[in-house]
Amino acid sequence: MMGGIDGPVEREVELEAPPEDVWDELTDAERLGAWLGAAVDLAVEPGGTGTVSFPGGEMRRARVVDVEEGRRVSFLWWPVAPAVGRPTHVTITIEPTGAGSRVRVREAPSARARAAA
Amino acid sequence: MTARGARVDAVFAALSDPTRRSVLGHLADRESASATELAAGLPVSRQAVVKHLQTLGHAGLVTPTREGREVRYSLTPAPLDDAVGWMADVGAQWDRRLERLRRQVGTRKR
Repeated sequence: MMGGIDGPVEREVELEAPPEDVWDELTDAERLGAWLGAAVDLAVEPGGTGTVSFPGGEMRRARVVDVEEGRRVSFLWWPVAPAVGRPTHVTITIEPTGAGSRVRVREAPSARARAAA
Repeated sequence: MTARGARVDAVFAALSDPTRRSVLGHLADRESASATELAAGLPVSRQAVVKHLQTLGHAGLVTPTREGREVRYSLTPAPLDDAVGWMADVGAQWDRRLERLRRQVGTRKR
Protein backbone atom coordinates (compact mmCIF):
# COMPACT_ATOMS: atom_id res chain seq x y z
CA MET A 1 0.00 0.00 0.00
CA MET A 2 1.40 3.34 -1.02
CA GLY A 3 1.26 6.31 1.35
CA GLY A 4 -0.42 9.56 0.43
CA ILE A 5 1.40 12.20 -1.53
CA ASP A 6 3.69 14.08 0.80
CA GLY A 7 1.81 17.24 1.67
CA PRO A 8 -0.58 18.20 -1.15
CA VAL A 9 -1.24 21.34 0.89
CA GLU A 10 1.83 23.33 1.81
CA ARG A 11 1.88 26.87 3.20
CA GLU A 12 4.55 28.96 4.88
CA VAL A 13 5.01 32.26 6.64
CA GLU A 14 8.11 34.34 7.38
CA LEU A 15 8.40 35.60 10.95
CA GLU A 16 10.73 38.16 12.44
CA ALA A 17 11.16 36.17 15.65
CA PRO A 18 13.85 33.50 16.04
CA PRO A 19 12.81 29.82 16.12
CA GLU A 20 13.19 29.53 19.90
CA ASP A 21 10.60 32.29 20.36
CA VAL A 22 8.21 30.70 17.87
CA TRP A 23 8.43 27.22 19.38
CA ASP A 24 6.05 28.09 22.25
CA GLU A 25 3.41 29.10 19.73
CA LEU A 26 3.34 25.47 18.58
CA THR A 27 3.64 23.64 21.87
CA ASP A 28 1.66 25.77 24.34
CA ALA A 29 -1.96 24.66 23.84
CA GLU A 30 -3.35 28.12 24.54
CA ARG A 31 -0.98 29.90 22.15
CA LEU A 32 -1.47 27.21 19.52
CA GLY A 33 -5.23 27.57 19.83
CA ALA A 34 -5.03 31.34 19.49
CA TRP A 35 -3.59 31.20 15.99
CA LEU A 36 -5.37 28.01 14.93
CA GLY A 37 -8.57 29.83 15.80
CA ALA A 38 -9.77 27.03 18.07
CA ALA A 39 -9.78 25.86 21.67
CA VAL A 40 -6.93 23.37 21.86
CA ASP A 41 -6.87 20.75 24.60
CA LEU A 42 -3.81 18.75 23.63
CA ALA A 43 -0.50 17.84 25.21
CA VAL A 44 2.01 18.57 22.45
CA GLU A 45 4.30 15.63 23.11
CA PRO A 46 4.74 12.34 21.23
CA GLY A 47 1.59 10.25 21.65
CA GLY A 48 -0.33 13.16 23.19
CA THR A 49 -4.02 13.10 22.38
CA GLY A 50 -6.74 15.70 22.74
CA THR A 51 -9.28 17.86 21.00
CA VAL A 52 -9.37 20.95 18.84
CA SER A 53 -12.72 22.75 19.03
CA PHE A 54 -13.54 25.37 16.42
CA PRO A 55 -16.14 28.06 16.91
CA GLY A 56 -19.41 26.99 15.34
CA GLY A 57 -19.29 23.48 16.77
CA GLU A 58 -16.72 21.71 14.60
CA MET A 59 -14.53 19.49 16.75
CA ARG A 60 -11.54 17.39 15.80
CA ARG A 61 -9.64 14.81 17.75
CA ALA A 62 -5.88 14.99 17.47
CA ARG A 63 -2.94 12.73 18.18
CA VAL A 64 0.64 13.97 18.23
CA VAL A 65 2.82 11.74 16.09
CA ASP A 66 6.21 13.31 16.46
CA VAL A 67 7.96 16.22 18.15
CA GLU A 68 11.47 17.36 17.30
CA GLU A 69 12.31 19.88 19.98
CA GLY A 70 12.52 23.41 18.61
CA ARG A 71 12.02 22.29 15.03
CA ARG A 72 9.02 20.15 14.16
CA VAL A 73 5.63 19.02 15.39
CA SER A 74 3.46 16.57 13.51
CA PHE A 75 0.01 15.36 14.40
CA LEU A 76 -3.00 13.56 13.01
CA TRP A 77 -6.40 15.14 13.35
CA TRP A 78 -9.82 14.08 12.24
CA PRO A 79 -13.30 15.58 12.56
CA VAL A 80 -15.57 14.01 15.17
CA ALA A 81 -18.34 16.64 15.17
CA PRO A 82 -20.66 17.49 13.53
CA ALA A 83 -19.64 14.38 11.56
CA VAL A 84 -16.77 11.94 11.79
CA GLY A 85 -14.25 12.43 8.98
CA ARG A 86 -11.01 11.02 7.70
CA PRO A 87 -7.73 11.82 9.44
CA THR A 88 -5.14 14.06 7.86
CA HIS A 89 -1.50 14.41 8.82
CA VAL A 90 -0.25 17.90 9.67
CA THR A 91 3.45 18.70 9.91
CA ILE A 92 4.61 22.10 11.14
CA THR A 93 8.30 22.94 10.89
CA ILE A 94 10.28 25.96 12.02
CA GLU A 95 13.54 26.85 10.36
CA PRO A 96 15.86 29.77 11.02
CA THR A 97 16.21 32.53 8.41
CA GLY A 98 18.43 35.61 8.35
CA ALA A 99 15.62 37.80 9.68
CA GLY A 100 14.01 35.31 12.08
CA SER A 101 12.26 32.12 11.12
CA ARG A 102 10.08 30.44 8.57
CA VAL A 103 7.12 28.30 9.63
CA ARG A 104 5.98 25.74 7.09
CA VAL A 105 2.80 23.68 7.30
CA ARG A 106 1.96 20.58 5.32
CA GLU A 107 -1.37 18.79 5.49
CA ALA A 108 -2.12 15.55 3.68
CA PRO A 109 -4.56 12.70 3.82
CA SER A 110 -2.65 9.80 5.29
CA ALA A 111 -3.02 6.13 4.43
CA ARG A 112 -1.04 5.31 7.56
CA ALA A 113 -3.43 7.49 9.52
CA ARG A 114 -6.40 5.53 8.23
CA ALA A 115 -4.82 2.28 9.29
CA ALA A 116 -4.05 3.65 12.76
CA ALA A 117 -7.25 5.55 13.47
CA MET B 1 -18.00 16.08 3.79
CA THR B 2 -17.07 12.59 4.90
CA ALA B 3 -17.90 11.13 1.51
CA ARG B 4 -15.91 13.89 -0.14
CA GLY B 5 -13.04 13.27 2.29
CA ALA B 6 -12.98 9.59 1.43
CA ARG B 7 -13.00 10.37 -2.30
CA VAL B 8 -10.19 12.87 -1.87
CA ASP B 9 -8.12 10.33 0.09
CA ALA B 10 -8.63 7.76 -2.64
CA VAL B 11 -7.57 10.27 -5.31
CA PHE B 12 -4.35 11.20 -3.50
CA ALA B 13 -3.55 7.55 -2.80
CA ALA B 14 -4.16 6.75 -6.48
CA LEU B 15 -1.92 9.61 -7.62
CA SER B 16 0.90 8.66 -5.24
CA ASP B 17 2.16 5.92 -7.55
CA PRO B 18 4.24 6.84 -10.64
CA THR B 19 2.89 3.96 -12.73
CA ARG B 20 -0.68 5.01 -12.02
CA ARG B 21 0.18 8.56 -13.00
CA SER B 22 1.58 7.16 -16.28
CA VAL B 23 -1.62 5.19 -16.83
CA LEU B 24 -3.65 8.38 -16.36
CA GLY B 25 -1.32 10.20 -18.74
CA HIS B 26 -1.83 7.52 -21.40
CA LEU B 27 -5.60 7.62 -20.92
CA ALA B 28 -5.62 11.41 -21.19
CA ASP B 29 -4.23 11.06 -24.73
CA ARG B 30 -7.01 8.84 -26.05
CA GLU B 31 -10.67 8.11 -25.64
CA SER B 32 -10.17 4.69 -24.08
CA ALA B 33 -7.67 1.86 -23.83
CA SER B 34 -7.57 -1.78 -22.77
CA ALA B 35 -5.20 -3.03 -20.09
CA THR B 36 -3.23 -4.81 -22.83
CA GLU B 37 -2.81 -1.61 -24.84
CA LEU B 38 -1.75 0.29 -21.72
CA ALA B 39 0.76 -2.40 -20.70
CA ALA B 40 2.38 -2.17 -24.15
CA GLY B 41 3.39 1.42 -23.40
CA LEU B 42 4.52 0.82 -19.82
CA PRO B 43 7.41 -1.09 -18.23
CA VAL B 44 5.04 -3.29 -16.19
CA SER B 45 3.00 -6.44 -16.80
CA ARG B 46 -0.60 -6.43 -17.97
CA GLN B 47 -1.53 -7.96 -14.63
CA ALA B 48 0.07 -5.03 -12.80
CA VAL B 49 -1.75 -2.57 -15.05
CA VAL B 50 -5.08 -4.25 -14.24
CA LYS B 51 -4.36 -3.85 -10.53
CA HIS B 52 -3.48 -0.17 -10.99
CA LEU B 53 -6.66 0.33 -13.03
CA GLN B 54 -8.67 -1.10 -10.13
CA THR B 55 -7.12 1.41 -7.74
CA LEU B 56 -7.79 4.24 -10.20
CA GLY B 57 -11.33 2.94 -10.61
CA HIS B 58 -11.86 2.91 -6.84
CA ALA B 59 -10.85 6.60 -6.83
CA GLY B 60 -13.32 7.25 -9.66
CA LEU B 61 -10.54 8.40 -11.98
CA VAL B 62 -11.12 5.72 -14.63
CA THR B 63 -14.31 4.02 -15.73
CA PRO B 64 -14.34 0.52 -17.25
CA THR B 65 -16.64 -0.28 -20.15
CA ARG B 66 -17.11 -3.80 -21.49
CA GLU B 67 -16.88 -3.99 -25.27
CA GLY B 68 -17.39 -7.53 -26.43
CA ARG B 69 -14.70 -9.66 -24.79
CA GLU B 70 -12.62 -6.67 -23.87
CA VAL B 71 -12.79 -4.16 -21.01
CA ARG B 72 -11.82 -0.67 -22.08
CA TYR B 73 -10.94 2.09 -19.63
CA SER B 74 -11.48 5.81 -20.01
CA LEU B 75 -10.39 8.76 -17.92
CA THR B 76 -13.07 10.34 -15.69
CA PRO B 77 -11.33 13.39 -14.23
CA ALA B 78 -14.17 14.76 -12.04
CA PRO B 79 -12.69 13.42 -8.76
CA LEU B 80 -9.61 15.55 -9.44
CA ASP B 81 -11.85 18.60 -8.94
CA ASP B 82 -12.73 17.32 -5.47
CA ALA B 83 -9.04 16.94 -4.65
CA VAL B 84 -8.23 20.41 -5.99
CA GLY B 85 -11.18 21.85 -4.04
CA TRP B 86 -9.98 20.18 -0.86
CA MET B 87 -6.47 21.59 -1.38
CA ALA B 88 -7.88 25.09 -1.95
CA ASP B 89 -10.07 24.95 1.18
CA VAL B 90 -7.39 23.55 3.46
CA GLY B 91 -4.78 25.89 2.00
CA ALA B 92 -7.00 28.93 2.61
CA GLN B 93 -7.51 27.81 6.23
CA TRP B 94 -3.75 27.61 6.78
CA ASP B 95 -3.24 31.00 5.10
CA ARG B 96 -5.59 32.53 7.68
CA ARG B 97 -3.99 30.66 10.58
CA LEU B 98 -0.43 31.56 9.58
CA GLU B 99 -1.42 35.21 9.21
CA ARG B 100 -2.77 35.07 12.79
CA LEU B 101 0.48 33.42 13.90
CA ARG B 102 2.47 36.21 12.26
CA ARG B 103 0.45 38.87 14.10
CA GLN B 104 0.60 36.93 17.36
CA VAL B 105 4.40 36.61 17.24
CA GLY B 106 4.71 40.31 16.31
CA THR B 107 2.57 41.32 19.29
CA ARG B 108 4.55 39.19 21.73
CA LYS B 109 7.85 40.66 20.63
CA ARG B 110 6.85 44.23 21.53
